[in-house]
Amino acid sequence: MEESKSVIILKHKDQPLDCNGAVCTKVYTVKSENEATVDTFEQSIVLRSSKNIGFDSFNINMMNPDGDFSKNDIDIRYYRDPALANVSSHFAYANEEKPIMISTNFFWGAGNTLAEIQKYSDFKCRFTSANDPTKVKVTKAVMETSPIGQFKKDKLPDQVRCRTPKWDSTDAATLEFSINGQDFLGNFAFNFVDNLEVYKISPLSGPIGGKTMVKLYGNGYTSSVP
Amino acid sequence: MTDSGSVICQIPKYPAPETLDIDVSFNDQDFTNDGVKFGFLDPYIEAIEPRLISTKGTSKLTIYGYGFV
Repeated sequence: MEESKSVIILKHKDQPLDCNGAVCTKVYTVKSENEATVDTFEQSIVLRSSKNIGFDSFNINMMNPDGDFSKNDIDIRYYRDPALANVSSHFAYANEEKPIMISTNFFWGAGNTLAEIQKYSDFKCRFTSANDPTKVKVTKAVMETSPIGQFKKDKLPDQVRCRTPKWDSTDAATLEFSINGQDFLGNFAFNFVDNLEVYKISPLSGPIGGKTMVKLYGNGYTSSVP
Repeated sequence: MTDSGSVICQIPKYPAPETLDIDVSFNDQDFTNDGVKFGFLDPYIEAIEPRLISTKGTSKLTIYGYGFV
């Protein structure tokens, strides 16, 4: 059951919301009796009292058969795209889940507020194979303040941390980040390199004083680490 | 009646959100009483995901609730 129905209106909770002078309406698509989807508008065309909506919160109302609008107090808002500066590493062994840090300007106080991002974000990292665009893996991400573990009262998060997924082969990929779990940005080159593994160690023991030279047999020691 | 297994009828207007039993009769006197129900529900939004949307207009919202027909 999937059918486009009726209209949906984006409405500011206090004042009428306009899209280029007209009410912002979109047709929504019914997925089931309990689920519907609707596209959104570019922020640049959404006005409130003749001014751009900016990063103010607003509500979505659905038109019922009587032409009234169902009311709710679920705020949604635009977020400002963060600026992603650099990545802590551009490679990972294919068999590991390696922490990756992305230096990030969240534009706190200039579009984004910490409280709302903390409450409503769904941070994700997405890895897409450069050789097979259908091979995509998404991992959870968190924001944090660098350096990790050194909490400073007045310092706001300035980096994102996520883990690489296990990849079943060596591969080139791209790394992207999303604040809402849906819209991704950034296009960092990333490489999955040979698995790093140890099969055997020789000798198996030595004196407690240490200094025993051991030989490790395994895989990935001459890996193509960039 | 469309075939031996189904009947089509038009739901009348109803003044308030409510779930009612729906029964069938062929003689306007003897009605089924099988507990089949129909809900008069205006669209009601219970949750929206995501709550943060892209300025580019690329976000697609999923709306959860009742009465989406």
